[in-house]
Amino acid sequence: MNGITDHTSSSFNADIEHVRSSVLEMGGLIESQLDKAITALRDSNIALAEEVVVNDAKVNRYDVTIDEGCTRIFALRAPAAGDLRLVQTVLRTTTDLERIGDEIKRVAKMAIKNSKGAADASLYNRVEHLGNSVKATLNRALDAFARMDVNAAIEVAGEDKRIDQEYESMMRQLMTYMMEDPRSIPRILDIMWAARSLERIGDRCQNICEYIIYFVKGKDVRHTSLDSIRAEFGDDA
Amino acid sequence: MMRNWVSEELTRLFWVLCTGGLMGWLLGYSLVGLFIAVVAYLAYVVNQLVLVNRWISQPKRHDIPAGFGLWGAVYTNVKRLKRRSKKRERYLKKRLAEYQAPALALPDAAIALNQRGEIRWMNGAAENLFNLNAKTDVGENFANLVRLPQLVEYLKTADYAQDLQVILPGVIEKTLLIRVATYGKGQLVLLAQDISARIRAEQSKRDFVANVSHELRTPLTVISGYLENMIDSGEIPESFERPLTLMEQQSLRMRHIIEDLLTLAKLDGAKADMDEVIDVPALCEKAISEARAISGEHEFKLAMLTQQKIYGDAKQIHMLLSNLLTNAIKYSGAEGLITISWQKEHLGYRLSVTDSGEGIAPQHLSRLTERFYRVDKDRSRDQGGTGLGLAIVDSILQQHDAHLTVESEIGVGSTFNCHFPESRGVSNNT
Repeated sequence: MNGITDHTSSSFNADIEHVRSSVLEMGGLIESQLDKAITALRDSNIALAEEVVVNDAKVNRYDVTIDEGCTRIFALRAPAAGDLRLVQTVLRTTTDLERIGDEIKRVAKMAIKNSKGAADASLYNRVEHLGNSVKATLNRALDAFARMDVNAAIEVAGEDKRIDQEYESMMRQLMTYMMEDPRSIPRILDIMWAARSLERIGDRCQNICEYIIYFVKGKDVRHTSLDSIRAEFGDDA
Repeated sequence: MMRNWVSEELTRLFWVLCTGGLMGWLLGYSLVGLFIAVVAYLAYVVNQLVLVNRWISQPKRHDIPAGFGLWGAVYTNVKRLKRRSKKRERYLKKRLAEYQAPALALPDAAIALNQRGEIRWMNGAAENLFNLNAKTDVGENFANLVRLPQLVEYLKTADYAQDLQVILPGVIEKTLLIRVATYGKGQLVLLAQDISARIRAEQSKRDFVANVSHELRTPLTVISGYLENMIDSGEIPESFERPLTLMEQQSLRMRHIIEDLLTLAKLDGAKADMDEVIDVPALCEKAISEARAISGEHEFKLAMLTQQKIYGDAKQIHMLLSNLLTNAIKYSGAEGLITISWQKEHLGYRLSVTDSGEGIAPQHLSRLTERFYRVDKDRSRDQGGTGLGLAIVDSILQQHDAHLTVESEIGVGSTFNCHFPESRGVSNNT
């Protein structure tokens, strides 16, 4: 059905499916973390933000167990060709997910820090909007990973540009605020860090999509432009 | 039919052998001739077998072979077999679709999973709710696609005795009630119902009660306060004394009702935490000494058959005891025996308050915890009751995973039993 489960050895199949499920469990946890962090930032909800910070340990535990699982597969099954690419893809995706977890933790910490001051509602609205775009991207990237869907991966990779643009325009606006009122600079800097973390999460989602394309098509597209990826693979999954 | 083919084939064989034998005899090698005839016949048979095999294994690629006699019969029968089997397949598919149709039409999401958690089928509502595709997502692992941590955990622990309530994030957040039923060998059907509207309605109701009570409280406090002042001032004309006193009593009663409503509104919903340890015997003693202060004539007894402590909210349990004791005092007449007991029972622990009052008729027993329910309307109002005491008791018990039972005999008395589950008990090691 999707090339993942046609293996000659069914025990490799079971191992890799188990590891893949762990990755998606980790993904689910990270999605809920992101949701909480953005809500905490918007509502200045310190308790929620602290929950996010504490749960980051769980995310890191997933990273360790998945890494161990993959190492075991390498050692015991000595996979080749497609199987090897799959395990590599899983490892790389896990690393990016763990980094995404770290960025989310940073956003949560910003929420804790900023809850004291009276915040400008419009600023937080823009951060929330950026956050929602990133949430959607993460969700679709994980869906694409679950189904190993190349078309979805290409689509999601394309959306990262929009997020970058949104981020840049937000930066410009924040800078004008800072120039207008220098006293607001510390607070706005914090918001900038939160926005930067969100933008970086978007970048990592793009990485994950590139890994999916690498696995399915057997071609490393990590440093290829999106247009050439589309041109080559387009709608032919 | 069979007899014809067999005899036909044997006849053919006979003629082939004769021909071969004759040719051979004419050339002087009759045995060789026979031998060649047999070989030729065998070659023909083997060829037919090859053709048949090719045709059966790839019916679309190869035409039905030309065969006469027995071979023709074989081909015809095989074709007939295939047609029958196709017809049966179509019939079964149709019946299957008929069975699945109700599930597909359900307004709630329904998904069938196999023992590995892979999707076997889903209905349209499931597609919409979880953003899945019924055609292409069959075979995918459900937990991989719908990654809600609570749901994944729920499926992992596979304990489906309790339903699960989760929040589905999205453009519009939805609250879902998830129910799972198992069948076959570890196969599941998962039902997801969108209960967001219901949750919102319940919350609205709670908010309404709380808001109304709160708004009423302020004006009432003003009225109460001034009435008290006026009566205490001693400057009121005699004809106004009784009316004003009655007004003060009634406004006090209104304030009590509002306090109780606000208490109920606060209790609604959350379960009591498992953090605080309640020393039940000590709490019972405290409650009894408070009750003694209210009524001098009643006799109070403590029967602590166990020293077991429980987890919960001490303030709430205190309120529970006060309410039960107040009721006991009110309905026990001028004097009588009131007993609090605390003991272990089969599935947990029981806290009971027994009085020697007039008892409650059986038809009232199931309705006692309804808000504002009165057995005897006039009497209890005179005694200043709000009608909410037992509703509060019931609410507190629900928060502690407990429930209330009432035993009563007219003329003898009543017992109110609070049954706490074992899970609420503090183990003796702590």
